[in-house]
Amino acid sequence: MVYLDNAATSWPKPEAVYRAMIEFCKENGANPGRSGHRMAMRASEKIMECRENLARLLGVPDPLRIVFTSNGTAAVNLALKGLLTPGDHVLLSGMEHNAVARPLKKLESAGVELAVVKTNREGQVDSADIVRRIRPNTKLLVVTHASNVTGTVNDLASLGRLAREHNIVFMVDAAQTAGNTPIHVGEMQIDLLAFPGHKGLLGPQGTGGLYVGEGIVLDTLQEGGTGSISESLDQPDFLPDRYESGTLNTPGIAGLNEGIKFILDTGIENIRNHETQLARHMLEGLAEINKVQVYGSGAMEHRTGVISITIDQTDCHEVCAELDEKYGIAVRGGLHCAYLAHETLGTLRMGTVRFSIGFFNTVEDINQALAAIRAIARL
Amino acid sequence: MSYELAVFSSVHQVNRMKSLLNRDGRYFGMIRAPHSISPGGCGFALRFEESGRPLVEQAAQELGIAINGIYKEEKQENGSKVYVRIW
Repeated sequence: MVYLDNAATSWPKPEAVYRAMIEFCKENGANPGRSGHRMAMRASEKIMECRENLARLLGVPDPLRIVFTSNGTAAVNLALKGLLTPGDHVLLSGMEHNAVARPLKKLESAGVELAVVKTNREGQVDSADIVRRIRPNTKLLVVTHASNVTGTVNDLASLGRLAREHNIVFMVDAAQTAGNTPIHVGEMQIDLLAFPGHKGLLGPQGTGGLYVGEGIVLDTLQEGGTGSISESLDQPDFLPDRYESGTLNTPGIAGLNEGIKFILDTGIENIRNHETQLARHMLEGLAEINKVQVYGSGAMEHRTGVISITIDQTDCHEVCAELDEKYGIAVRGGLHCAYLAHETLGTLRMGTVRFSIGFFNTVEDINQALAAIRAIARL
Repeated sequence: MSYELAVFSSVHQVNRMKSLLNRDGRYFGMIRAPHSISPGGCGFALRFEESGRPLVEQAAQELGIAINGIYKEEKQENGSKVYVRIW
């Protein structure tokens, strides 16, 4: 199997990820932060180690401001529903995933006002349109760091600066970039950063997190036991306890920790360079195939390893099925849970076939994919 | 050797403190805070030799973590422990 579906979830994971999860479950599977015995202490230390490694990777000054969630979507929901109240105005980009668009749509029915900011043809957010749309009640600018459809990367430093100038909270959905593209929440002036653990961060499914910047107070979506201030019926007001009720996915976090350590050891620039080289190779190959249309930016510095194509009028799901069954290539077709992005790109009717490259892919994988696309396009 | 306990509200806070303090080779342990000094029974404490107190106070300040109290651990003749509040 040639796996080119890393935008859905990365595979394979580094061996250490699998080992850490098994080892945790077999040797040390206690509940972190509850009891005082050594196993429980070790479990809580593992969680802190992961928090600290995440902070190192993402430029977070205080690891305690990273909240673990069950996935990226849970993190986005906590941020949006915890922050916004009726009467608030929100700017979102036209490339947002449903993870962002759907919670906002629900909030709209409760009185939150939304405005979709224009993007250019490649899907990059138009800063001038942001400025045009700012109102006195604009509270939040939310953008995806990179589109899950086209791989187009937004310039977070510039958008963060813009948001700060207008006193707007800046939130980033890093579902497609955490772990494969440098992020520094301090330098990029990011107030809220939502990320999954199982994509670029190379952890297992069921992990994710939210960075909550200094001065940002979110309402809670869930209350309950935190292992702290049990004498009070009120939810703790300190982080991460305020947003981490109930037992965490400690085996998953132990695995995620190893994924992050792998990235820190390998170097995120090396990971990005490898994926960029493969993406460039694939884009060059695709450019030589008639009938193939590629979406997104051609400039490698503005894209990730996500490449969406259409092959004339061929149904994208039929292409995906053929890639899987005849050529052993795993990709994703359709709308990729990103209605807004496909609306922006004009691909709502047909969808696209998405190839998403990961660190463990090789040139040979890309060559096999190109050969298969050539064969399908000839039919 | 005399020990002291610094009590915190959350295991995450103690782990963060411990992680910073143990970097230069000293040992700061973590225990469940005894009920007598942590009313809810859910607090966690750093346990350290009394000479480590300035480091604990400095680390807490650096990390912006509130210490709920620092206590001296005293052993009674019958083997039980009592905790005397320092601040």
